[in-house]
Amino acid sequence: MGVKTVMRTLCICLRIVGISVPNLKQRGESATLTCDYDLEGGKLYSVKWYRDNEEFYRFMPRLRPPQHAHKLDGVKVDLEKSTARRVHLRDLTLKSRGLYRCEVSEEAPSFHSAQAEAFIEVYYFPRETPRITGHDHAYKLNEPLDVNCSSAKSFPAPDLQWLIDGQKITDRSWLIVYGAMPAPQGLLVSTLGLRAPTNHRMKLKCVATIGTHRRERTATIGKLFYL
Amino acid sequence: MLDPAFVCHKAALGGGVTSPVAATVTRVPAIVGGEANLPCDTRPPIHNDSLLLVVWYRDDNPVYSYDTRVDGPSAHWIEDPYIGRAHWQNVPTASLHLYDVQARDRAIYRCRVDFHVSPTRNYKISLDVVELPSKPVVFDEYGKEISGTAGPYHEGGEFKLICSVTGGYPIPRIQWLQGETVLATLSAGEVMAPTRSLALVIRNATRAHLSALYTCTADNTLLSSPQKTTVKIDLFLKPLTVEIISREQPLSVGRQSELWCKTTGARPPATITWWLGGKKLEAITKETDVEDANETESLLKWMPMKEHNEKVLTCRAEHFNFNRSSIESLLKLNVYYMPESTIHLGAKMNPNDIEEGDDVYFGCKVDANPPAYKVVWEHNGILLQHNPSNGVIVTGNTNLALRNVSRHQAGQYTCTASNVEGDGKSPYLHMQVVYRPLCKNKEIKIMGAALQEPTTVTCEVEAYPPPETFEWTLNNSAGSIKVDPDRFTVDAKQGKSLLTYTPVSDVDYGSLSCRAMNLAGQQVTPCVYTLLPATRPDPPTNCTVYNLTDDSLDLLCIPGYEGGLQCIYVVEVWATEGLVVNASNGVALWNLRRLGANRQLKLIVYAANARGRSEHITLQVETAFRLLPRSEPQEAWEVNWALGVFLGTALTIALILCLALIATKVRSRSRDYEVTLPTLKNQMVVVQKRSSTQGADDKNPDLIPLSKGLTEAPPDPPLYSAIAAPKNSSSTHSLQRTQTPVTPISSHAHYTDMQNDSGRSMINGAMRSHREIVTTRTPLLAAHQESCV
Repeated sequence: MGVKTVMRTLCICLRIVGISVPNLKQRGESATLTCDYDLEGGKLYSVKWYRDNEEFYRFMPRLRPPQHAHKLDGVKVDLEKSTARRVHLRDLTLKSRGLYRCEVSEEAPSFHSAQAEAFIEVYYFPRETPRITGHDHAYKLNEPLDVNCSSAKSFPAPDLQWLIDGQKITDRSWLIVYGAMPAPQGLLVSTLGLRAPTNHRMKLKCVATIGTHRRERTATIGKLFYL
Repeated sequence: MLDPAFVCHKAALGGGVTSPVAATVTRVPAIVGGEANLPCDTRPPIHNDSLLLVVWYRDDNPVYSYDTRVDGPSAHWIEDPYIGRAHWQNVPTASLHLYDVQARDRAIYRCRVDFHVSPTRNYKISLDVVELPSKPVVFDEYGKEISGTAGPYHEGGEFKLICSVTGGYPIPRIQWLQGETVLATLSAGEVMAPTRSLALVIRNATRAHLSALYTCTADNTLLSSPQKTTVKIDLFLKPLTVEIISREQPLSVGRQSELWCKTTGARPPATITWWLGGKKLEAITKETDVEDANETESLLKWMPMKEHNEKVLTCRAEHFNFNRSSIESLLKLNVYYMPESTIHLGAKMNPNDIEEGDDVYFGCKVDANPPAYKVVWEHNGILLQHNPSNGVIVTGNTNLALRNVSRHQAGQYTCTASNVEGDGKSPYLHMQVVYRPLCKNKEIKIMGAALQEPTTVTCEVEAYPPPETFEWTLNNSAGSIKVDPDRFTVDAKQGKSLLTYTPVSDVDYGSLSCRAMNLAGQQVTPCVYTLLPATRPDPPTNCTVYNLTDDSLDLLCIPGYEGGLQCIYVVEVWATEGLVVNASNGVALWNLRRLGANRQLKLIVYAANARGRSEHITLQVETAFRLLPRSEPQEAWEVNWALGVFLGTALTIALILCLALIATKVRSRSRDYEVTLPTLKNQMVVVQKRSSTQGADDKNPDLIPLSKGLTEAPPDPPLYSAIAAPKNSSSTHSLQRTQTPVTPISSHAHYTDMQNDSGRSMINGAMRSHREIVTTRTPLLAAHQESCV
């Protein structure tokens, strides 16, 4: 008889109602990903979870047990807490970040599937305030400032900002962007230099920002020599 | 249950992206109607794992599934549009094999491979369905479709081929190629339209473009060879060569010549026209299309003419497609023709003024091809040879000189030039030599003129130009007198002058000289005419009939004065019915025959000369009876026999007589004698005696007696003697002498001898008498002439 043909029926319109995935998590935290679907009368064949196209969790009703997790770097599935609609991840690492996709498939013969995806970002906030260097130096009057600000290690690299007397420095000619430098454990350190003329005792502030997380350090310029 | 009308559309919901993101997409190209293999690796990554499920999704719609949990063919499921067109194959590689790919199959397909243990693999395959473009259509610049052959275009001109391609996905690239060489390209990116065109322009089409193949290709995939359309170019070609072949020259006037001209290279074959001196000639043209040689040949049959020499014959190859370009082959004609000569007098020669003694130069202008090798000169039809001693100098081919020309050299001159074609004679040149008049008659003419009678003296001269005036002079004993011009006429054209002259007295006789004058001068030697008194003759006297037979008679008369001119003697024999015989003689002796027997005849005798006739003498005669009928042979025999007998007798008698004569002569001075003439009929004719008198002797002292005893007493001669040329008659003329002044011719003068002689000679033919005549000549018109006119 050949291939079994099915009447062009279906529309058993399997659809994903919603996907719920935390956008941002910190290293070490756990996350619960939910993929809500509606089979609309059809039989479920499988629910599969992928991170960046790599499957790490599947739920197949026909299997005993139905849940199954695959090894994936940065993804630790808590099988007991995971169901067809839900998958629980623990001990998120920096590698856990990625695009997470759930795919729901219907049973034979059509194996209709529906997919949804969302991105999880994993951050590591700096534990300390940024460090300012070069401000101890005794400046003569009008001698240009040569100070650097380095953030504490974090992921991703924070945005650094200089403020002089509460004023944001926007003049790019005053700023030297050193960029992000690798730190242990996959973290990054940002450094930003400031070259501004000094004419009085200035109050310098360096602010490091990752998302909503913010750390800052203030420094005052040392004794000024008046000549 | 299941609602068949539904088709699911999947839309992913959620906070992220709506469409699934694939890692890498494998592109699989396929042509519409062709096949495609969508690869999907189903090998499990670990050893003891196995394939669970393969599902093919097109935009989240499953199109194909292979469920390993089910056995048999029903493990495979295909969506409707793909039924019969797709199947899963494991070898050589795991792939979904599609047949009869359609344009709507173009999509990104996802192959999901479920394993029992290993993680699911998803592959993204993009099926790039290629719709091939249409076969290109080539148009000409006017929008007309070209199929197969384009053109024909003109050599040297420009043509445009437009290639038009419809459809094709992705958008095809259009190219024009000649062989392998790309001439023009229209890239896929340029021009977005359902139908795209690329033009190929060829400027200055050359001969090489004939039958060139140009291909337009449209391609948009490597999967299949490009669509192509090829056109072949057809060209009109201009003629390449033209040549007059068979250039055998020279041609001859009057001989038909055949010339061939050939042209090659034209397409379609060219037309040939022949031109000479700007005019077209008729010719037979033959076109041959030998293996693309495209030849046209033309044969010209024509009669060359003299005017064609050195002209240029042109053979022109033309093509109706190319109006202004035609090529020509030229042939300078060398036509041989007979020479045309023209004779002319040398420059500075006045043809009206050539005098005797002048040098005359002639030139001969010859128009000949080839140049004449000889030129001959003719004078009045006679060839002139180079003869320097005679003054005839022929130099080179074209010059003739006559030195010291005489009047005899006047006439028609012509020169004839000859070459291989023939001889050309020039029109005649009439050369006139001017000379003084010359008398036509070389001799002095003696004319008789009667007193009181007008005589016309004609003076004829030869002169060129014709004489204008004449001058007559009379020379007589008194001297020379010019004749009054009134008395003569002048006919200048004929060179004659007529003088009517009437001598009145003796003084009026003498000699007339006539001199004509023309442009050259006056006649050097005049024409002289001696005038003698002339009159008509006197009649003969003492006519005696002798030997009268039944049929014939002899008549002997004594002639009278001739009148100063030559005269003849005439006898007319009249019978009752009219004139029977008319005989004239230079002497007064006749033998008349066929008079008829027994007839009464009247004889009329007279003398005649230029001045007129003399009086008549009439005689009555009766012929004898016919005696015996005689047969001629018998008669002859009889005659002969009788003759013999009587001859013997006669001789004897004659001998006796001679002796007697001698005896008598010795005895006396008497001149009486008689001669007995034997006749046929035994009749004796007694010659009339003439008694000699003293007077006769006195009158004629110069006479010498004849050897036979015949003496004569010549009559008194006329006053002036005249010498006349001997005439044809048997009589001879005697020269007479001058005598003392005029005595009219006496009628008594007789002379018989001459008659006797001639009579004898006429009758017998055997005996001839000799007669010696001694004469003296007197000079013509000597100065001592005595009478005056």
